Amino acid sequence: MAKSGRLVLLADTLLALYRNMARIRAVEKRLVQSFQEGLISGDCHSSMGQEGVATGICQHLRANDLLFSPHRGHGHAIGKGMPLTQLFGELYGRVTGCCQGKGGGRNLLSQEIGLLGSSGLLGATITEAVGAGIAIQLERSDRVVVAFFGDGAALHGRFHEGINLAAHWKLPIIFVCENNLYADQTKFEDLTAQSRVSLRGRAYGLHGIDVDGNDVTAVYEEAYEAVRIARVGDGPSLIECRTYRARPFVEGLEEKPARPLSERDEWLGNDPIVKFASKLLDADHASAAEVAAVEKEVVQEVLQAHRDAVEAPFPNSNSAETAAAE
Amino acid sequence: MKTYIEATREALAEELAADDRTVVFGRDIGPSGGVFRSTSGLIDVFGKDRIRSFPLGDHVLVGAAIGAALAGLRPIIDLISPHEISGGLAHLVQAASTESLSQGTLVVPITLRLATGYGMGAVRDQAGDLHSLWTSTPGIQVVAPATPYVGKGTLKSAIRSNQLTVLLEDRGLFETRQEIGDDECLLPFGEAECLVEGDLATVVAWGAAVPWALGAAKTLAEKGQRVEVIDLRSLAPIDLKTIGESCVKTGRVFIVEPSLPDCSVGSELIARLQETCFDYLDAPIGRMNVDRSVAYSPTLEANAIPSVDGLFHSLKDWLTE
Repeated sequence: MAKSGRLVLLADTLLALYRNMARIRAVEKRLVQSFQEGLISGDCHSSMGQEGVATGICQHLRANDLLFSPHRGHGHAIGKGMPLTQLFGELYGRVTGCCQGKGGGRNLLSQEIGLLGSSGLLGATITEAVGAGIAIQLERSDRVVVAFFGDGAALHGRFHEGINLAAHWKLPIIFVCENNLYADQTKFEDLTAQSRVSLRGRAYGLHGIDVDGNDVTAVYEEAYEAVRIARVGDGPSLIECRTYRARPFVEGLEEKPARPLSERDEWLGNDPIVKFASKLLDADHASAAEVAAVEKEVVQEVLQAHRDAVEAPFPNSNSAETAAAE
Repeated sequence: MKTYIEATREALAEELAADDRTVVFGRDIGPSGGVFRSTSGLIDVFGKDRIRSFPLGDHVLVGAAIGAALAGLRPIIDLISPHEISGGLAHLVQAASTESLSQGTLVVPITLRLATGYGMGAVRDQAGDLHSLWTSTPGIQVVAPATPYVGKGTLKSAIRSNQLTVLLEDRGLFETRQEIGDDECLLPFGEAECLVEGDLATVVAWGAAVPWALGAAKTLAEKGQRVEVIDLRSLAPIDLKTIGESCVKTGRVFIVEPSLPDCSVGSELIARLQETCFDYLDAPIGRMNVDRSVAYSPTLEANAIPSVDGLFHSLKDWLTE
């Protein structure tokens, strides 16, 4: 997977990657609790366990790059820079949310950070990215578009229609398949004879890449190359990141059948954050104190964002908007 | 004199020239100019990047238009039948709430052109109206133009509008001709137009039903019965003010739709009129629709689709009830 010309990652970058993963983890932990406490009225799709993907990809993005994120998108929004108060506010249905409580956790939109699309409509991120790629190509800038999606979406028509045109028109897109092995509760390999999504990309003429999604530096390196290729106008890439969600498909769901314990143990033993922390320490890129300080810092941030959201008001129905629709 | 297709093609050319963010996405819209020649010649002027031919797949056609719109373009989707949108329907319904969710910071300025309507032996997979799919979705403007002039003016305004706009364009009107002049021709949304003044009753029509209504009103007038004819034009939002004022004046309303009757725009109009104008109505509201039995054979079509003559007789009977 790592190619010649391996990137040299500076300690600052490594610590930034660690901080972002730790921040997403702290958010997801708090949200699991918030769901159980009844603070989240709709669906809560936790990305716990998949932090390496969102982090390794988004670290390369500039403020004016564009992002499309599916239903499991907390980490993507955080990675692109959404303030945590906006994220918590949205999930709690408050006016401080990124959509003033109108969208919930599956619909996180923010023009400010370039998060233009977000929803559970299967594969919508893929086709929307095609359109945004056309817009960027017409403006002749070097902005790029990232579309996250899951393995389930790779079985949808939008995936095939979308990546076909992206490759044909050489659009500046990085398609990121977070293959967490399950489409909802059904094992991905029970739904297809070809479970390597990256190979589908190659079949359509894209750069198709496999990477261990739980290895943040590996994701970071592949994304570096894919983003570079897109910026210079050499077309889209499809990065398949194998990863695993630590939580059920959606909070509150008792999965049937339950995922095998041996599989869970193996993947959770391969936790992206634990693994990266020991890598940092072993290679002396960071001290134990620095790592601990980051942990403490993000937990404080999350606690503050949670408290702000709890205290924020619920929205009132906008009667003007209702009247305008009539 | 210009046909509907020529007038709306002129609208496209003017708006493409005025704003280079404007793009057309559709099937076969390049050198062939589209099934109905709605884009003939445009690729020679504006190039294949802006007059962009998509494969036969409405998932990506619609999704890409949404993504392009979110990223700053103003896409026009050109589709030859209302059914072609099926793979993109849920996506458009979702996109229609983007402006509200984002407090107006993100908009989806898409113009969706659907060639709808009955007749010409097209059924099931080709024809139909599906009008109420769009009018029942919040956040979408829906217009059914009845003339070349209204088609041109509405299309231009739709392209400039930040709101998702659906144009339900009846294939039966594509070859109708009208003098349209050289004015800028931008028509507002949400406004009905009174085409014929009368005092006996108000006949509300839109799209392909407008020529039926005008024809029937003319024959009635020749017999001394003057009915008012209003082109509703905008199906969402509905101009209840214009219809209501006419209802107050005439005391009778008849609705003629170029579409099926169930849960239709006419159904909604009737509901709103009884809410707001009940005291002014002298008789039950009348209506005429495309019949559910519409099918391929010429006889089945002729029996199911309203006509000037059929409407005239219905109105004559209804007026004496």
